[in-house]
Amino acid sequence: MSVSIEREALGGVIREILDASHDSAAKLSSDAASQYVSSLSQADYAAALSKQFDRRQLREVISELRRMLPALNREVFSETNLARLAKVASRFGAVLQAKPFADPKGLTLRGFYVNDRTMLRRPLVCVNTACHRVGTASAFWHEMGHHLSREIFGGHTHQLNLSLAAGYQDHLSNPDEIVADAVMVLGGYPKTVAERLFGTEGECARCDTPLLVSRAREYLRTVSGFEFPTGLSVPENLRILAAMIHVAKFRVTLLREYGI
Amino acid sequence: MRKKTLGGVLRQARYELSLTQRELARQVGVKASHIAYLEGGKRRPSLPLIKRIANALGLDRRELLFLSHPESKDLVGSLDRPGATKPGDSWKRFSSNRALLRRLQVTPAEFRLLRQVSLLEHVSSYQHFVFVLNSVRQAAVPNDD
Repeated sequence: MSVSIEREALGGVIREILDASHDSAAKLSSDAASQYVSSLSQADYAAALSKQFDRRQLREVISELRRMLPALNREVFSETNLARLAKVASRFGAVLQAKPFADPKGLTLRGFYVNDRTMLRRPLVCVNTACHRVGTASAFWHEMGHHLSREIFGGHTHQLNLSLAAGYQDHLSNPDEIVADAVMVLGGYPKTVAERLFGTEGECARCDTPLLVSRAREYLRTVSGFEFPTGLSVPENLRILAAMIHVAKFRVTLLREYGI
Repeated sequence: MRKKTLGGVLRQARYELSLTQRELARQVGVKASHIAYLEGGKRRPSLPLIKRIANALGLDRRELLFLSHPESKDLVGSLDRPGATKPGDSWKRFSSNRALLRRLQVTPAEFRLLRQVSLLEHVSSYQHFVFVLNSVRQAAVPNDD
């Protein structure tokens, strides 16, 4: 699909988001937002991931993660109940702190992970509950990915990892973030689901973004009742759209390039 | 969804910093009643006062301007444009705001931790630092533990 046609198709989704809003100021910013989403849809995930991990390396990493989390890539991690997610964190020696950061700029912060024993008794996973509950749960699994990889592979260069809605492309050049995203993505789309939704051939496998978004929307509606666009603000819906594109493209790349 | 107002933003930021209206008023050079009027939506702050309040509470001046003078939005542009803030700006604004750092009583260890945030990702708002700081403090163990 050509860039211009793809932009047009994505533009349809963006227009859908804007039409659901009466916020004229947010509509004014739609061009820039559209460009942001479009640039994410054009990113070459396969090339970016291959710079960080070859096939054997990433498969080994996932295999190690599954020793701790056997359900990874087998079952859908659809739990959004925060108390139950806190128990999951506790089982792996971390503490979950879930609280809202509802300021519009605050909403761009999905969560963070801190492992600094000089200040904290146990590693901290913090998620922003002002996001949609599905987004909050996704952020939880991303941050747990940081925690699990630290438990398995030892200390990160950094003691703190932050997850921002505008930073998806940055993740692709950072091995820590790739592993954390892999946990989130494989939890959301286990292999059998990914194969059914995205296949290994055809337009999905070529990362045709509008088609991936369409499949992801339908899937999320089925497994979690997630209706998109949500009743949230235009910027938040655009962030969710960006997240859907990122997760779907990441998942297709894992399936196609790594056989995961 | 509840509409965001200047008063609501000021009150929320003030609560986060555990400031009374009187303390904030002293910092920005107005009477406490003026802060109450602003939070109640009864008055609009002048441009110099917006600057002082933004500094005291660690808020974005543009955001306060748009909330208090919505007509300025059309002249200046929209708030939520992705990439509107340059990477590093948020950290510069946070780390150079001595009054805010003093008010938050940021320790050297906390400062080092927050600095990692600025190195790791593109943070679009320096309120993120305050949020991370408060979250870590809530989870922190006492020094003598």
